[in-house]
Amino acid sequence: MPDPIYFHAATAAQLLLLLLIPLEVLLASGARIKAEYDTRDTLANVAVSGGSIFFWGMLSWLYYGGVTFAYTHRLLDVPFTWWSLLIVFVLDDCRYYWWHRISHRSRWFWASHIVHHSSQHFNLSTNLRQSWTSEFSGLTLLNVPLAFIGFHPGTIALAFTVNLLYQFWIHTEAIDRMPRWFEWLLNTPSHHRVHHASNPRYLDANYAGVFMLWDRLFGTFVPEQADEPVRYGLVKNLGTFNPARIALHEYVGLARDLLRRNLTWMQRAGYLFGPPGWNHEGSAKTTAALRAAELERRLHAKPAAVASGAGMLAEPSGYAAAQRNARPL
Amino acid sequence: MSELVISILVNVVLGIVLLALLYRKRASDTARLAGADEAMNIFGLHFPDALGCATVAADQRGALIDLHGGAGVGLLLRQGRRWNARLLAPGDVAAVELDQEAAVNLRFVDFGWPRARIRIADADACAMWLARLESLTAQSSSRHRADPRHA
Repeated sequence: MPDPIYFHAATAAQLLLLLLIPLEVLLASGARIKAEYDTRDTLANVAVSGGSIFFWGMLSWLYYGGVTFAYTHRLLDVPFTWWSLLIVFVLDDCRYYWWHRISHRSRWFWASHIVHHSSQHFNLSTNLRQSWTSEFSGLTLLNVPLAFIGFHPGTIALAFTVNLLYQFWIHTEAIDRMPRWFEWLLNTPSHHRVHHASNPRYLDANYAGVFMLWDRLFGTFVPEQADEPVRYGLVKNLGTFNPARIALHEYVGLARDLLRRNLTWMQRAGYLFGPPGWNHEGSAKTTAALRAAELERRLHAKPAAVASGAGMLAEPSGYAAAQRNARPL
Repeated sequence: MSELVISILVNVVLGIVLLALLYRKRASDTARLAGADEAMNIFGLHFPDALGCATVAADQRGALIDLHGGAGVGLLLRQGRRWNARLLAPGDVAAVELDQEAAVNLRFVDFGWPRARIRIADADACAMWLARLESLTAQSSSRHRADPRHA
């Protein structure tokens, strides 16, 4: 088991990283860096974070219970050394990639993770907007294999903590691009801006925690394009800063869909585990459908038609420029 | 447990510090809609296929959009420092009423966007929108569905 000093160091690092948020606010207000803060949005982030920590405290026994149970039935005894920590860090990062990918591709898990994507801003305080329900969504089971192999639960927790600490700095617009080798190997603000975008081209991409290797390997890497500025947030953005609504809104929507009358069990299962936006009527707004519609729009792009009459719009002007630079998604 | 308490305390302190900082450094949000065309342009960023006519709010921080082809009503509102948009279909509106300042107060079925308020300066346009939005309430929608004259 790792020495407790590692965890104390991680907690100290966490507190130091939090100080970067007011620093970013200060620098942004002097226009020294690119960052945009909205008072209510930022306070909502802090409030959601408080709830997330509270519920994590209440429910973390589910995680520790599962991992400890697996560890008591382990196959091997892996000692805590630098190389075992390195191995578990890489394996846990792969676990994080799949946790993240499933969290975006299946609505039950998305209902938990959507919280982190619900801000229309992207700054260091966005880190704080975390799920209240991650412990009971069931995906903590993905931690079990590492413990079952024989890595100590403390080692796994340490690796995951370092992973999350790494991800703090990538929630910013202040950094444009890192050196090319860095962008290739590791997750960066540019890659993560894409991940937080609601543009169809950028949806469901760049799931990596630390190593971009996983996205490149599993075909989910999408680079940030200069001709398509990122629009942060959700496909259907929230109209509230109430932390409880932010944390639970997708569960309410999911419950309403599940309680619809005259659905078959397969249709209910589709609402529960199908991709976000799926519906049984065939008018789905899934990522695949949104991308197909966007591709269709670009392929059939015509010169921006002249609007006739007050308020009429044939081609939204924001898309006219994008269409001129149209390329396959 | 002590780490949990410390973490929550840090959040509270951070929240207070941020509130103070954001209050001191705040810049007023001056975004206003120049007119119906701009409202449609912004709405089009959210719904690229939308075509319609916009009625801009008196404070120029929102618009109601009459979507063509029976596509329903579009709503564009300033939300903090961002524009937020919705397509409102029958059943999406829980209640609608006119308040004392002649603003339209909307309550939505959507848990993630519970309410909105928009004031239309022109009284005739306001009355038209009130009727239009009332037709989108769940009660009105079910009444229409039950009434064979509306079939």
